[in-house]
Amino acid sequence: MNEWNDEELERGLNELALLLETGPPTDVDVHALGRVPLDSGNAGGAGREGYGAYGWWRGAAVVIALVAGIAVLTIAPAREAVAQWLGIGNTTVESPSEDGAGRTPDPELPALGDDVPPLGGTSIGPAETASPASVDGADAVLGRTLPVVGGVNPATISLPEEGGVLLAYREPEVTLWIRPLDGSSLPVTKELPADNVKVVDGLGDGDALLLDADHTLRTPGRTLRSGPVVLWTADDLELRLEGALEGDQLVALAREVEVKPG
Amino acid sequence: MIGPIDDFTVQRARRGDADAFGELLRAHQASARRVATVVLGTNQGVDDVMQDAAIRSWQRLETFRPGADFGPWFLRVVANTAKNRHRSAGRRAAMVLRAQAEPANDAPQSPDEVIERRNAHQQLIAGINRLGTDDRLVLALRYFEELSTEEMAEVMDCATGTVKSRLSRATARLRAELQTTETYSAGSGR
Repeated sequence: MNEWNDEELERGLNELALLLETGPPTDVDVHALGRVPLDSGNAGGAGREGYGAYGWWRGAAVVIALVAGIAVLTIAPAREAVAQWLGIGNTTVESPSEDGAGRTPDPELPALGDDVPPLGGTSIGPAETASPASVDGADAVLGRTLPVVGGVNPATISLPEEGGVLLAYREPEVTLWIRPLDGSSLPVTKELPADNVKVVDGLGDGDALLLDADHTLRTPGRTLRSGPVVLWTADDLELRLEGALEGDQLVALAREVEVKPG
Repeated sequence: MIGPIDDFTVQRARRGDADAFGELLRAHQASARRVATVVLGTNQGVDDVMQDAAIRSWQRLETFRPGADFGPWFLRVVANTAKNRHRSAGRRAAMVLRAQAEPANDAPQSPDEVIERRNAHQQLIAGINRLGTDDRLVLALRYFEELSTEEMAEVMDCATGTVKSRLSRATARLRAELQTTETYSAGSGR
């Protein structure tokens, strides 16, 4: 039995740094990174301007494709086929094929929330008449009190088949899709041009993504169209805020979403 | 364990020199892989985190403050990327130690001492595996990477006072886990 005094604890933890199994080194192809354009706020850096015409996803794909050793050998066929991806929670973001097919979502596709009934079969109505029972039902799905957007209650609450709760707001007209990251949510793929994907700093538990264009949303059971979206995770939830707003406005609104602990 | 990085290398990278950026990545890869492993709670998925973190840090190099240490800045990107990946459903393996562990120090050890150290390491890793992500991260930054409080604050994006309180709480929780393990072992007649 060990005496875990301060000295012994520090010694043991220091030693673990050398003993922790972290896998073989990742061989990142930095020259492929050279084709990855900067964030919009950083544009104009000397020596990089010539790369702006390339989608940064293409650079990412090259990086992934060129990773040496075991990483390449263990890539599943399906993942190898898509090759160009980045993920947040249960959502994968892909760029379309190089010929541009699929860049514009089919306008005939339904949007998320078009065909899902509100919780309990009825709209909970405007904020001041929200049904506590419906809100309680949504709370039960998430295992916590519903997140709050700008201190306003949602106009409707519905339950998409891919899991979680979809809140719809009227002013501004946005939807917030909240899905637990506990295995109960189905995988979702967002498809849009890489140039319209931006990393957002300091939102939720880590980095967030702004998908700043209309795009296609695929799930195991259906294909939908989607407007601009901010995707992030917070406290074991995946959050997706969609609305026909400027990217900066959408991100600012996302920062106002208050997630309560489960 | 983060050493000083030549400012010149950072400046070259910020001007778009991919080779210089590669030097920075290589210099910090070991630390970054440990941080990713600790946040994920397993080494599965570390390659994905490293690739994403490389892309994201490259994209944001111009936000890096000249004269600052590259290491904590990069580890922050790695930790955030790993947190995002950790949220993916179903990923919950445990961290493990190398099967062929190298000696932890150069001092000669008796067989009994070797066994004692090995047992201590196994106890520690079992205790750490039972901690939450934030506790594992703050312990790793302090004891695995040996960062200063200021560097930890940079990685964790919080005030130095917050770092101290989180470290204190995480250490207390680890001690409690180790105590639980020892009590259980003693009760099992080990």
